[in-house]
Amino acid sequence: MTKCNEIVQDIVRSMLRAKLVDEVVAFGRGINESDIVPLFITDEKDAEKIVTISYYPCSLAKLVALYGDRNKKIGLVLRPCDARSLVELAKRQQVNLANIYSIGIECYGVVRAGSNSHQVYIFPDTVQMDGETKPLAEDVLAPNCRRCEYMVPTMTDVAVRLLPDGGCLVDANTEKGQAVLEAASIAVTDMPALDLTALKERAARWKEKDFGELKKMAAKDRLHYWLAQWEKCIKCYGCRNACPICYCKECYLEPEKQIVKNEALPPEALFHVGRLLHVGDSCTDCGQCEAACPMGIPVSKLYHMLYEELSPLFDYESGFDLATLPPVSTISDKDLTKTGVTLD
Amino acid sequence: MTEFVPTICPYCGAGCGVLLLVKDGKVTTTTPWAEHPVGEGRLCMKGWYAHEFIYSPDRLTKPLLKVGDSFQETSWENALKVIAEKLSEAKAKDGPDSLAFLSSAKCTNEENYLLQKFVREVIGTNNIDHCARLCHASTVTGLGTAFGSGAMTNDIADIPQSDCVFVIGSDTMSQHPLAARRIILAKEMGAKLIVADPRRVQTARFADLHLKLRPGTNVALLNGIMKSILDHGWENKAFIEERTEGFAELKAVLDTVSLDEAEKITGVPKADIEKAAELYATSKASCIIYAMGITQHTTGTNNVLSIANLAMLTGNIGRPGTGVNPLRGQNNVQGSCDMGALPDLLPGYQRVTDEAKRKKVAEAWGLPDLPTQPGLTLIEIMEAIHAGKVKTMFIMGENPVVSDPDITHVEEALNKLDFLVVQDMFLTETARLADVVLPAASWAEKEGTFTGTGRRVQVLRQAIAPLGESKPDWQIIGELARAMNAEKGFIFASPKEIFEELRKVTPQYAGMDYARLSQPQGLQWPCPAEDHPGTPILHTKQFTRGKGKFHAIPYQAPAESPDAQFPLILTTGRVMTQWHTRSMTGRSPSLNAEFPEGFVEINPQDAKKFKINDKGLVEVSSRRGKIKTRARVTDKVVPGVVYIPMHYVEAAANRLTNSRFDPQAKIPELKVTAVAIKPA
Repeated sequence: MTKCNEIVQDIVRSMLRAKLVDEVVAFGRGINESDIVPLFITDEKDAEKIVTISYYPCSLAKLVALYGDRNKKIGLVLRPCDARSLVELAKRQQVNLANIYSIGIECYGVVRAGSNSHQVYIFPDTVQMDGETKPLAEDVLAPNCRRCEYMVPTMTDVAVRLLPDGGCLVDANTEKGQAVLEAASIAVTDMPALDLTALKERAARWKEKDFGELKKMAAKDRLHYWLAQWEKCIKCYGCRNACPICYCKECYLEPEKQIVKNEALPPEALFHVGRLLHVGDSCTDCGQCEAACPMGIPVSKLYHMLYEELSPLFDYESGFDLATLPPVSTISDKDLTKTGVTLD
Repeated sequence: MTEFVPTICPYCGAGCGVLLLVKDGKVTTTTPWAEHPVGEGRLCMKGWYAHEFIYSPDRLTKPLLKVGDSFQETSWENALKVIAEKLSEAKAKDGPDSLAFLSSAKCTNEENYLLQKFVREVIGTNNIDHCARLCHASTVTGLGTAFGSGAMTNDIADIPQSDCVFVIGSDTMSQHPLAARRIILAKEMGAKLIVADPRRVQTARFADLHLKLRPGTNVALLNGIMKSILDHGWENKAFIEERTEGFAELKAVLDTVSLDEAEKITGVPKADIEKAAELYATSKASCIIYAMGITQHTTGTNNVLSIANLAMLTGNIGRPGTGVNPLRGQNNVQGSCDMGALPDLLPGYQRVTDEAKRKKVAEAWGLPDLPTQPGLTLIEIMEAIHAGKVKTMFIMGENPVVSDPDITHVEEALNKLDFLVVQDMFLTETARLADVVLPAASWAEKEGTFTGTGRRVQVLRQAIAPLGESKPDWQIIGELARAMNAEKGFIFASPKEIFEELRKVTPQYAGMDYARLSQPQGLQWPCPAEDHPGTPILHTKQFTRGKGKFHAIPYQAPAESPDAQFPLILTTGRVMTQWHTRSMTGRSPSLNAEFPEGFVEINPQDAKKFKINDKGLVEVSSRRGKIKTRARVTDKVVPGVVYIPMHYVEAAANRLTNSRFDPQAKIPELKVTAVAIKPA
């Protein structure tokens, strides 16, 4: 996968050199080849550390929202789910999109957290592991990735598209994107039409598998399933801390708020239900919550399932259009009469 | 400039990797380190908020000198001069054994190594100990005797391979959450889970079998289980034959055991003892996980030996998913023991009484010999102060005024000293009693290595410069040694240089260097040579001592039993988000807010009997003292037992606890104290 790496590195170098951005946030090599950590790059020499391996250990959008300098111009190398999270954060005034140059990498899934001691690159139906290409076994993928149908970064300024032969093409989605490609002297390529039928079928199959059984359950059994999962919770706050949509500076989950009782394990169900109500309408199914959970609670399954129910009801697709605000903030009297979603 | 610095969490012995986000020279936050093999990109709450105390306004930034009743800031030069003079004077006047030192399981291997070297070389005594005495001293003696190596036999990452996990005396989900993760994983893959604990700890909610034993009856329970195994012929005869010795002696004791008697002593129904025997003995791979519920007893060593007996009886050792797995409490308590911060052991568990080994260490240090007599342990040091034998003390990063048993006695002892030095990040309850306080740097401000509970040695990386004039402990010790004219052995430019020396005298670490340790997975000892890959599982082909040794252990009652005056058993422990004496977590707002104050848990039956209301203020008393705290009436504890977390100085459990100790390990019986309770 050196081609995609090379192109992304080139783009980053060019953005810094042309002073389009002051800093670039991307994943790169840490201690060794498989140690993937977020990098804050200000010197173009460091661009060579960037890797586009199919592993995505945290939300870079959230990192920039929390720790980025709002007055600086920042370049961001993102996968599509995180690019959607960036849009949601912008809607919530947590990032200044005008100052962000986003480079999206086409993505067919990333590996499960904790299984990354390899060099893994995932393609539509193959996986390259430590240099060897094999047919893709779907259990390599993080659970949320198997349900994903947004492979193409249409919401970023620049889109880096992967070709089956390991090559890649670059496209600009915005004027900022064109400026980036100009700086990098990369000609915009006419994108070949992409047939996502097989991948959408994969997503549907896994949604059916992950949600189907739960949906078939009687409401009280479904509630019981989740309560049993939440029994395992050790209140590490990992799901909240990892979630790019959880942005509140003052969080009602904090013990001093006394909404969720402190001094107790597991925390009351409200801990989970409350967070679900807060962010469920905008979940981008990035899977960071589930990857952060020490106890293996299938957190993203719950959030994604609710999102999938709310999305058609409110005609809301999270993470695409900056102008469309999340249902929670636009809810009308009429909306309150809508039925069809059961939370139990 | 913004960067993530990969390093190791400073709390429990699991040793999870964290990334510290450093922005313009300041630590901003902690996030999980994805590639690290213990955390695997996950953390518990303590891990997520491990940075919060770093910038506490309470951090000491200048050396302090006591003048009259208050402290005055002083220069490093002056502080070290005063200490050097006082230590030299004390040594000359009352002899080296009139000085005693406490090292720290929170400090790095390099710092522990250097302090014990200072104590043995510059002072010339073996009076060095640390809080390992209070946690796994009995593991070191027990497993050392039975197997030849007093450490966790397997690894946290190995637990999911188990078919039966037997947790005894460990509140794993609260105290070692990333080990608990593996227990839950094992369980979800079909493993059976047995939890033995007088309290319904969080882990017990997931147990197939919860054995609610009375505190202090571990041996009776374990003997009962082993008796049942023999009765049913579930023992592993081939393993016993080929790999062990002393089985006949064990059998002779078990022949005298009756399950009815075991039920009477432990309070665990006979049927449950038999069920536990069946689950543990008949699963393909069974592991035992234990912690303070086993070790903190006057029979601590015997409890550990009984656990070793059980594992050997069924051949559950030396394979994936098996083993005897003490979960070490502190981030580097494994390492501080490995480094010989103990009164009877040199680095690498070499006995000070073993002339050949001692002389070899002496030779490496360029000395003819080292002190030959084992020094005093933690509790013995306090006794020796009362007896006028120890007059000067130096404490690095420990807070015995809250952490040790019978703290009234400890305070009296420390107040009686001629001279006390405390080296810490904060003016702790202990530091307030000192004559000189030296400001130490935090975990984010220094380099070194920590050894986690799976014998995993890993590199702590410096993220920021030490705050104010604080210094890393290794620098302080080096400077003090030089102030006492011990130039040669104490000039190190970096912890890496100290490591290069310590690996030469610590056989288990011989093949390690910083380059190898810097990989995310570090190295697990023993690693005897530079091409040795490290050892994830001990005792695979043979035990470290050759054959595993069974010990015949009859049940013995705890030092204190309930009586008319003190009718309840107090057992102590920790809560999820506080750490020991709260010097760190009490200064971490997110962690402190989860469990802001102390309490006593009491069963509804006892509450009724003693007229205690839920949330009511109560007085709890023992033969040694009394405290006021709030009651929590809950069936989480069995009748006859009350539970108080050890952390809160305002309601200090250790005001009540007993300093009577295990004869071999000298670990005090923090888990069983006879107490009375009444409304306050």
